[in-house]
Amino acid sequence: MKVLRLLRIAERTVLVMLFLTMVALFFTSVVTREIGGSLAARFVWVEEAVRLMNIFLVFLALGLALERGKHVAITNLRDGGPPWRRRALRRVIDLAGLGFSLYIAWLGLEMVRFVLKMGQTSPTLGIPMGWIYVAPVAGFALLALRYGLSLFGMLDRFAPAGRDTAEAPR
Amino acid sequence: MIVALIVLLAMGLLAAGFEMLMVLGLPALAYKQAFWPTLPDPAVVQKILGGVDHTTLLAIPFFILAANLMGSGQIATQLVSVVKALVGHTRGGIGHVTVGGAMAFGAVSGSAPATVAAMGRMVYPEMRAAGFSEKFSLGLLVSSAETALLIPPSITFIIYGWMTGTSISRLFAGGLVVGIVLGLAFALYVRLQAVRDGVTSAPRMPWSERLAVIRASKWALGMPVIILGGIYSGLFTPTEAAAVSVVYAIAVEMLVFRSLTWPALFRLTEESAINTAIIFVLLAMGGLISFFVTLAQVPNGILAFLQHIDAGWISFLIVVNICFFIAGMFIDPNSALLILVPPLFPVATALGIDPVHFGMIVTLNISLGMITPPFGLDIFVASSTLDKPVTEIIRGVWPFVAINILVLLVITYVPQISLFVPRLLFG
Repeated sequence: MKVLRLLRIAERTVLVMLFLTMVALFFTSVVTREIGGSLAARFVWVEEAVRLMNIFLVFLALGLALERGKHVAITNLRDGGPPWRRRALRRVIDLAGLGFSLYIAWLGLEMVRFVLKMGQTSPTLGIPMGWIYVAPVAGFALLALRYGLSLFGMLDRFAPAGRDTAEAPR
Repeated sequence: MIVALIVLLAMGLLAAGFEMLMVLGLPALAYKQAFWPTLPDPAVVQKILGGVDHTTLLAIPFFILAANLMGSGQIATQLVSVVKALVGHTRGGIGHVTVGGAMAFGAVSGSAPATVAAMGRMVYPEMRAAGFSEKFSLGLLVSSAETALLIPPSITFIIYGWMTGTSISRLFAGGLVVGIVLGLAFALYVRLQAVRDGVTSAPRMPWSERLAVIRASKWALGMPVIILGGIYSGLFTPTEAAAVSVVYAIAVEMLVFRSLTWPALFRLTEESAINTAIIFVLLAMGGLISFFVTLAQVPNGILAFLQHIDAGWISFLIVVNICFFIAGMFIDPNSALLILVPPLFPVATALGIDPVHFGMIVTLNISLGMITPPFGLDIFVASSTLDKPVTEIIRGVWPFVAINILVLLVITYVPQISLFVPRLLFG
C-alpha cells in the first residue's frame, strides 16, 4: 500500500510542523508582549492563527489515532470472548464508524459551502470562515478511511501493541 | 420513552467497545433527529467545532507536549531525585517519595497516566526492595498519580474552566491545596503501612548533600517555578505558561542535558498531537451534547425536582458524588466531565455553591474515577508499564479508594479548604 504509506508520511509531517509552529508563534507573542510597545501590537494575529492551526492539528490526527488504536474505548468485550463474536463485533464497529465519520464529513462539507457563501471572514486574519470547516471535513474523512480499511481487513487497528488506551493522557 | 432508548443505545455502544467518540456522538445525533428535526443538520458540525475552538483549550496541547518531553528526558527524573533527598530517610521513606514524586511531577504535567508511567519505572522496584508488599506498592503507585490531576497545571481544570467559564487560575490555586490534602492523606497511610510491613528507610542525607542534589537539579526545578510562578504572579495566563513550558523543556533537554535529539523531538511531537486529538475529539462531541442538554433545559428539570423533594445543597452534592463515582467506574474521566458537568453545574450555582469549590469536587471525583475498578484508566497504565496483572493492581487499590472517598467528603462539606487560597491570591 504505497499510497497509504505516503499519506501517513504526509499526515505525520503536517502534524509535527503545525504543532511546532504553534509553539513557536505563541511563545514569540508572549515574549513580545512582555517587551511591550509597538512590537506587541504587530503580533495580535498570532492568537487567532494558533487557534486555527490547533483545529487542524486535532482533526488531522484523528485517522492516525485510530490506526494506532489510541482512541478511548472499553475494549474488554470487543477484544475478549470467542473469535467469531470478536470478529463480528469488530465488523459492526468498523461499519458504524465508517458511516458516522462519512456523515460528519459530509455535513462539514455542507457547512463549508454555506459559510463561504455567507462571505464571513475571521476578525484579525481576514480568512474566509468557511475554510475553518475544512478541518473537520478532512479529519473525519481520514477517520472514515481508516474505519473502511479496517472493515475490509487491510489494516489491523486492533493489534495487541495498540490495543489498550493506556497512553491516553488525561 | 425515546430518551430512555437513547440512553440505552449509549450504554450498549459503550459496552460493545465502540470508540468513545461514537458512544457520545451517535446518541447525540439520534436525539437531534428525534427532538429537533427542524434544526439544520450542518449545525451539528458548528457545535462540534465550537467544542474545540477556544484560546483556553490551547493550554492542553502545549501541556501534553511539555509533559511528554519531560517524562522522556531528564527533568522528571531530577524532580524525583530532589524529593528523595528531602524525604527518603523518613519512616516509610520510599513510599513518601512515591507520593511526593507524583506531586512534583504533577506540578509540571497535568496528566495522571503520564505520571503513573513515569513514576512506575522509577520507584516501584525500590518500594519492593525496601520491604513494602506488592499489593500496597502497586496501589500506592496508581493512587498517588491522582494528585497530578489536582496539582496545577491540570488538564481536567482547564476543561472544567472552559466548560463553566470559571477562572483557570483560581481553579489551579484551589487545586494546589486539595492536591496537598490528598497527598497528606496518602502519606499518613504510607506511615501506618511502613510500621506494619517493617520497612527499612534510607539513611538521612546531610544538608550539604541535599543542597548538592538541589543545585544539580536547578534546571528541572526551573519548570515549576516558571509554570506556577508565572501564573500566580500574573505574568502569564495558563495558556501562555503552557507554551513557555514547552520551549523551556525543549531548550533544557536539548541544550543543557543533551538528552533530546531531533528525531526524538519529531516522534514526541507527533505522539503529543495524537494524544491531544483523542481528548479534543471527545471535547468536540461534548460540544454537541452540552448544546442539547441546554436546549432540553435539563438543569431546570433537576432544580425543579430538588425543590419538589425539598433538598438543599448538602443532599445535592451527595447525589453529584454518587453520579460521578458510578460514571468513573465505567467511562473515561473526560467523557464523564463532558456528560455530567453541563446539566449539574447550573444547578450547583443556583444552589449557591462556589464554582471553584464545585470544580474541586468534580475533579477529585474525576481523579477517583481514574483508579476505581473495573475500568480505572490508571490501573491499565500501571498494568502495562509494570507488566503486572490488572487483578493484582485492583486488590491493592481498594484501601486508597476508601481514603479518597474520605478526603472527598471532607472537601465536599468544608468549602473553605478549596476556597481560602484562591481568595487569598485573587480576592
